[in-house]
Amino acid sequence: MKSDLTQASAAELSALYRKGKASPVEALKAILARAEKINPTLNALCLIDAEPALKQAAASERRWKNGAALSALDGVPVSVKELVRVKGWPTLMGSKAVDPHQPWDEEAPSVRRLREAGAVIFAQSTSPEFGHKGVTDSPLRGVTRNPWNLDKTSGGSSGGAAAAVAARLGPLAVGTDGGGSIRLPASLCGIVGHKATFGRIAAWPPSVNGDLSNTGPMTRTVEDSALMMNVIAKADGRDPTSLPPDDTDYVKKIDGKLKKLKIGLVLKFGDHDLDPEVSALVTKAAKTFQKLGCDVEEATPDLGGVDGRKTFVIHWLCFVQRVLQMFPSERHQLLDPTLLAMARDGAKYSSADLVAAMADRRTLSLGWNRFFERYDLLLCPTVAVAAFDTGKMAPDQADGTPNQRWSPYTYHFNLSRHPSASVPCGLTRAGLPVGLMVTSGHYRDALVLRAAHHYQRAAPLKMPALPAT
Amino acid sequence: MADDLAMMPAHALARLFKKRKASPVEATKAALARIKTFNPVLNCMQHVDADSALKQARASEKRWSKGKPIGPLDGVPTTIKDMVQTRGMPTRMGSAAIAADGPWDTDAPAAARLREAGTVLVGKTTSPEYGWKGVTDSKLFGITRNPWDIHKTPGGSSGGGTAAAAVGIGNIAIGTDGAGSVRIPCSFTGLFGLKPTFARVPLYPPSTQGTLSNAGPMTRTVRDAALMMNVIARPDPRDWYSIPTDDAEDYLKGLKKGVKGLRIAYSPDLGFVEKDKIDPEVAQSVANAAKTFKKLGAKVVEASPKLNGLDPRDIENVHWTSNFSVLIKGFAPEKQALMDPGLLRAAEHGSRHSLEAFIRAGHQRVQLGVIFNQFFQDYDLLLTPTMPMPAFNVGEPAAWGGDGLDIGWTPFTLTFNLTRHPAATMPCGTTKAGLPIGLQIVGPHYADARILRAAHAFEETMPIPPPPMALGS
Repeated sequence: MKSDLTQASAAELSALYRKGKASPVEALKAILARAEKINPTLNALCLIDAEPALKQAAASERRWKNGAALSALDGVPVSVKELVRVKGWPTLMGSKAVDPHQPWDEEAPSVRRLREAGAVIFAQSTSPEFGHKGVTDSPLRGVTRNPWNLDKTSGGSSGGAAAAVAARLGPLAVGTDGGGSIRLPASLCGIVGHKATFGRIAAWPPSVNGDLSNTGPMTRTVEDSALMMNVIAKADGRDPTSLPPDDTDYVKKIDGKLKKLKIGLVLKFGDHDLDPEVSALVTKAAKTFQKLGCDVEEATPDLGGVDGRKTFVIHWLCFVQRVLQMFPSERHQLLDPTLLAMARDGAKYSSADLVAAMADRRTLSLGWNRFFERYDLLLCPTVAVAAFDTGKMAPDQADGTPNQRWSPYTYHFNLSRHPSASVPCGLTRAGLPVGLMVTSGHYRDALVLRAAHHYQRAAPLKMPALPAT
Repeated sequence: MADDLAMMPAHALARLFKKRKASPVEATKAALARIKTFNPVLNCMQHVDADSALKQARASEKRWSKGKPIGPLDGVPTTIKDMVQTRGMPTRMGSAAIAADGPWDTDAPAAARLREAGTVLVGKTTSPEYGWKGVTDSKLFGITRNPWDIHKTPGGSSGGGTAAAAVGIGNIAIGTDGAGSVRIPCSFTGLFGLKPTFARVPLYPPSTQGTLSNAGPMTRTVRDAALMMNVIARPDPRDWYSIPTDDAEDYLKGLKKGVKGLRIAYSPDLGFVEKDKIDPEVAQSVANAAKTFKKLGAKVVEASPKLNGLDPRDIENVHWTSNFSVLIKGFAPEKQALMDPGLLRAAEHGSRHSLEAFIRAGHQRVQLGVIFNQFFQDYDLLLTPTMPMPAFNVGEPAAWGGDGLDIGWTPFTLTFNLTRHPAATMPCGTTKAGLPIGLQIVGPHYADARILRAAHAFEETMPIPPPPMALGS
């Protein structure tokens, strides 16, 4: 009796393939069967390309039989967010305004690397239009739901990817993160997501969001994120912001020692509400790190008086307003009204506002660099709340108005370019997952993953069969 | 003898120090003597601290005499541009709006690394205000002049540093480069200069020019630049852009390997510079240099990237004037009154760019970077002129009669500030009027060492000559 292959991590699948106990075709078929059942409810995958994927899986099966697997990810099914190009698939960015009739003949670097490694690229996951918000719905795709509670949002913008991975529609997903879009849905869906140091994972075409944007892995285990990093953390000639290649073996590095790391715990990034349940779970996680031999203390970063939210919002809106120029005005009515409103707000800024925000960004980032001179790692909540109802852009406050500061953490490290991962650290009483964010100095991606890995082993989140019914 | 020390390459000084044939104190005295001789004419020094320099030199002398120098730059007289903060010396950014009182208690990363390496920091070199233009003059210090012809500008904005290094005021110099400010003056004064891959040499405090800005070596030999890179190209936590901590490249390694087999593109116009704007003598010298690389065994072909209508000049102009507009806002009106009217005009011009134009320029910058990245998949190096022209008369804010608001007169250099690629200038001849000509050597990201290697091979065929003035004739 074969176990349910949809439950297996990529590392487990790889081991089964190697021993001949399961095949890539069987794994893919199990995932496709599951998708057929649950994706209509979740709306996490907007394109399932079964036939070519089965061909890729069959080719992988032959390689494993011949002892010629291309990598540990050979034959492992992976989904790709609809902001990332896959050859042959319309990459519509969640938008009705994007013309689907294009050649779609070039692939993003991360996808190309995964294909070279033999991974089976089987589905495209949903995103809000151009990834502009922290929840996943769009005029093109409708609402994506959280498998832990179908009334709740999966977060965004990689909400399709996070919902798919949590619901076991493939162990691996490629997401993107311009202000938290990998870590935020990972937190809300109880999975792992890593935003690498900017430039570590090459991207193409250049993002509308410039150097805030990152491609990265979304998985159920940290080990799987490390496996993906080994494949996608490469330079690419098409990305002029790629870092110099390094040959870090992330899988090897995650087992390294954790002891004696100096860790700063920061529960709040300023004047914002923090759900007491989130606060308690993150504090508990910090204690786990102490038990693992780390030196943990509460810390306060000195960010030079810069208002991080304002700095981020100006960058974000100014970038978003570019959609107004990308499409002729008669097509603007096709855009998500929330996107259009943000773009129009962005267009009100002057270039001097943006240049001043860029200067503030440098000051804020310098503050974090100095923090990471003192601490090897920063622990904080990934998001200030657990998942909230779909159909809203932000959760309600006690007085019924929207809480605009529900995600005050993640964007700091898009501004500052530091590596930052979210790892599940428990459930609220309502049974919704909460994420712990682990962040470190530039280029210390391996340390971030190592810490998250040790933590996940020490405090694994038991995942029920999802979606919950 | 002592005076010769001033013109000696840094790497040769170290050999003399080791053999006790010369001492850091003698070398420092030689540099100080040259300040006395040449600074009144060239006006290249913003600040000189002879006492401190001699003190540093004596400490270095002790280390050498104990056989324990810190490294090959220990005791080498060095100058630092007025844009790079240096502990104990005023850094005024060439601006009368910045008071002289300090406190001057911070070493920028490059200054810190050079100090740790034991170099003797002799003084600070002049810069136009905030390095805003490609020539060196300011309300604060007046006009800096070119040692090859004192009626000409040494270029800028690191023109003080190159004028100084060319005549032996310091054996090595640090400059900064946001649109060409290391390469322009090195080209005009006949020095080697490297703008490293962006962030390879950390900066602090963050530059007004953001990711366009770089610090780099300005030297009389290529080997000296490699020695400097070994010291200054090290990460510093104060620079949030600085590249990985495992980056410990030895720039001397492979320096002598030559260029045999390298695929080199020679582009006389970089695909966008109007041919009639390039001085024929410059064009000829650079073409000859390309032939030299062929003789040295490289596979040289004439090739230019296709820029798909992008004009790097337009992209750079939007960026840098916008950045200055924000800089100026940080000064009260009475301070602004002290500033260079040209800079104020550039800032005013910059404040008029729409958000849309600014963001578009940002995206065009990335597109340009992608084009050059793909170009470098086919070529190991790229050769172009450094400047379209040799040094021009002092008193002009720009070449071709420009008012300084358009820095398009340095099209070859500014392109690689936008794309972040490493780019060096190497002297490759002189005009009939006796002014130096620079060859620009550009490489893929992080291929700084390869550029040094190619420049070194070229240098062996054509050593860098000093200006006649420096020989005391």
